[in-house]
Amino acid sequence: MVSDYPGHYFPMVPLGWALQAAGHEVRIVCGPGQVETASRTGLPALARGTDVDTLVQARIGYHLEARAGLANHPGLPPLHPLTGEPMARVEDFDWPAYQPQFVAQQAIQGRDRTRGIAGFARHWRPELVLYDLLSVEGLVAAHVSGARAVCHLWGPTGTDEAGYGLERMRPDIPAPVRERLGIDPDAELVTHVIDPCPPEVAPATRATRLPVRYVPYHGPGSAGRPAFAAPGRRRIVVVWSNSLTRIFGPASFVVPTVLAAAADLDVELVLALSADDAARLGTVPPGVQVLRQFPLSLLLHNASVVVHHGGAGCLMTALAAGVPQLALPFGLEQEMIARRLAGTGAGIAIQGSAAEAGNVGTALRALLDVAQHAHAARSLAARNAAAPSPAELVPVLAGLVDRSAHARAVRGL
Amino acid sequence: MRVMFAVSDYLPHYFPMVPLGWALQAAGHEVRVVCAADQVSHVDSAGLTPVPILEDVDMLMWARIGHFAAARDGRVPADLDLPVVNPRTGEVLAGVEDFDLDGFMKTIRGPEAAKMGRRIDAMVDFAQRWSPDLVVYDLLHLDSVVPAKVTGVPAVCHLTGPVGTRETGYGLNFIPEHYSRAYDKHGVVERGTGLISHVIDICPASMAPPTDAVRLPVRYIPYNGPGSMPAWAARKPRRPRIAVMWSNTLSHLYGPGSFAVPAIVDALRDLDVEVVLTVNAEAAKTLGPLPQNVRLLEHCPVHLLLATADVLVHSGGAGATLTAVANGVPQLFVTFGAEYRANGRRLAATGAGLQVHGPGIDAETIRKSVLTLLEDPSYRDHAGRLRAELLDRPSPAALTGVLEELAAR
Repeated sequence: MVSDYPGHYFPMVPLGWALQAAGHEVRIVCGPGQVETASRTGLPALARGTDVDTLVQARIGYHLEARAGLANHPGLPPLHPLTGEPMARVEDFDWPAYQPQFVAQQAIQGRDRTRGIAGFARHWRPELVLYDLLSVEGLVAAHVSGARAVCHLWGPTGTDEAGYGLERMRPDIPAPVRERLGIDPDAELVTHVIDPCPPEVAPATRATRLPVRYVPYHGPGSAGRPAFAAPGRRRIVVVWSNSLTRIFGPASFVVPTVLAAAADLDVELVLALSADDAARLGTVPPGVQVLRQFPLSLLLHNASVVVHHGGAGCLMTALAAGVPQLALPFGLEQEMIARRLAGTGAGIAIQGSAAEAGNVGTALRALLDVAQHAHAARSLAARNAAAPSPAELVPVLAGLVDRSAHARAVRGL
Repeated sequence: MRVMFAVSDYLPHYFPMVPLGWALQAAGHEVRVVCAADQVSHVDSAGLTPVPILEDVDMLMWARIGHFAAARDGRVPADLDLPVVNPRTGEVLAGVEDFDLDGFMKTIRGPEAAKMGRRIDAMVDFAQRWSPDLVVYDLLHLDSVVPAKVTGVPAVCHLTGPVGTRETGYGLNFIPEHYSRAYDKHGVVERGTGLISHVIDICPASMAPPTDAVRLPVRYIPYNGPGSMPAWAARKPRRPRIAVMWSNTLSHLYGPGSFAVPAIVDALRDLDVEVVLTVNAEAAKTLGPLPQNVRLLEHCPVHLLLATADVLVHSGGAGATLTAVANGVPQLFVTFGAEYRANGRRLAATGAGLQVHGPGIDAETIRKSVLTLLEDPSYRDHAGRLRAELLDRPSPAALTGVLEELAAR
């Protein structure tokens, strides 16, 4: 059971392969808009419920913060939450007028999603439901089928993070739905999490932690001619989110700042960008390679530094490859995990809206030249490699399946 | 470890390797699938990473050349009843006199041989740079042993189904007669089945493919390509459900007469059954209006459908055969061509299905066969036994340990 953003469920895919390769049956249940992508991972995907526009949701969240005077990046012009176009003032969007419609729409989407997934679970009778932080309907599916529910984290963001804007990520079934389904209002539903992080960047959770090795997977379209040529010069790889400018506006595209900062360094620069961002960048200095949608893990084997926006997929892929990272986050969650990584010495975090050629250049030089960073990055990668593989997690999950509860629920269906 | 998959330009032959790719990746190994550019979307939609460094090969043309040459030389068994087709275009010919094969070969042999050499060079180059610990290839891509030999690592042939590496019947021997000069160039002197040291065998023991190589048993896990399934198809209907699956390749090899789906639809239209056709839209269009008990299901991997099917009617490909075995579903083979017929005969010998001759097939024969499969419980019993045999084999996850040992030797 997955939410409407591929970056949230790609980290679960290697476990799906592991389960299938061990002879288990797996289905991804997702919104209709995700079926095409989700079904091209090697796992079959089924559509249930209606789509949720995660970009609109994210923009509304940040809009409300700006209205409350809590904007994380006051220098960036606000975006219209529905169109994504920059606005002169936050008040140009009439939130009080839109709010009732938004609330009603959220309720309908939530209900459709819950009904769809519950219907599927009653029919297919899973023994195990894996869900991500934003697909809490998985908890309902597990309840109606007697399955064990396990939350699969996508990176260093846990089920019990403290701090503004992060506590709302805690997965739960709302009280009215609990009442309707006869679930004890005080029952702790998040009992187990699959945690792909080394302890040094451990996400906060009160649940039982099932450690697993992070195996990078970047989704369909991961083809590429291998980049073998070992560069005589050190290589900096810059990878940027496809959706960031649609949440924080064009001003959040700070890759030109990174280029300016790296201009004086004797390095080879490789940029992996979406087509839109590549177009936004325009012409680049000679010697800078721009790749479209190239899978990050295939680029990192001889990289000295990775620069990214703090997305969990980039951060974890670089972590697994043992490459020091510079994170330039805009989102609250990205900022939290970037700081968590920086705490290990394997990376440096600079708030995206504060990035300038000066501080980015200083950070890049430190990551290239100060041995502690490379050492910390290698040590995190070694920790990751020593964690149980997804294949080794399969028997652990099988051991968690409560067959008697499953049998009771199936009898009751 | 690093595992180089090297695959032919024919997905039905390499799709059975996909679950092993998942197993290796999920165990933390790296897998790259060396392939032609036209296979990229198939490979990456399977969850594996393609490395498209090979030039395309027209596998259908080469299959037609082989068939035409055999027909011309009188080597095709008469009981196959297959038409002669133009190797270049696939059009049905009145006879072998209507195409000048020698003239055609003169025009393509040089460029094709050069291309095969470049493919081998590209694989060797990749293997030398990437340093795999193991090479896995499908039976139509024996050239993959060259990069393995050059880099001194084991190469394992992944079989596709019941057809093995020691076959004597017409059309079943996939070991090439001719070898690229690139073998000599890269110092590989051996030829023939001796090149195949190990095979990964995905069949239940009672359908074991013949081979002289070391057999590495594994359980076939169905993977039939990406896709999804509408809710109606997931539910078991009130009436028996007959799934129909047909190869897209056949009419390119044996002409439009080898598309037996119209006869199958005609055979089942008056039965109290639900027929689900998993053919593509283009093929479906040729069928005209469908009877009320026939539904079309596109872009749905057939293994999802077979959980609720009572019989599978199909053209005999190994993927369909083993997917039905994995689901314990009795099958009816309507076969054209030697490989498909062999799959059907080997399955029918286990008691889990029936095989009928495709050319000239009539609706009545199909109807009777389907009714037999529905009404005689022995077929479902044998299909269940065969499924249990398959489940007894080690999973791909378990095979990774065997491959690790092989690579470490």
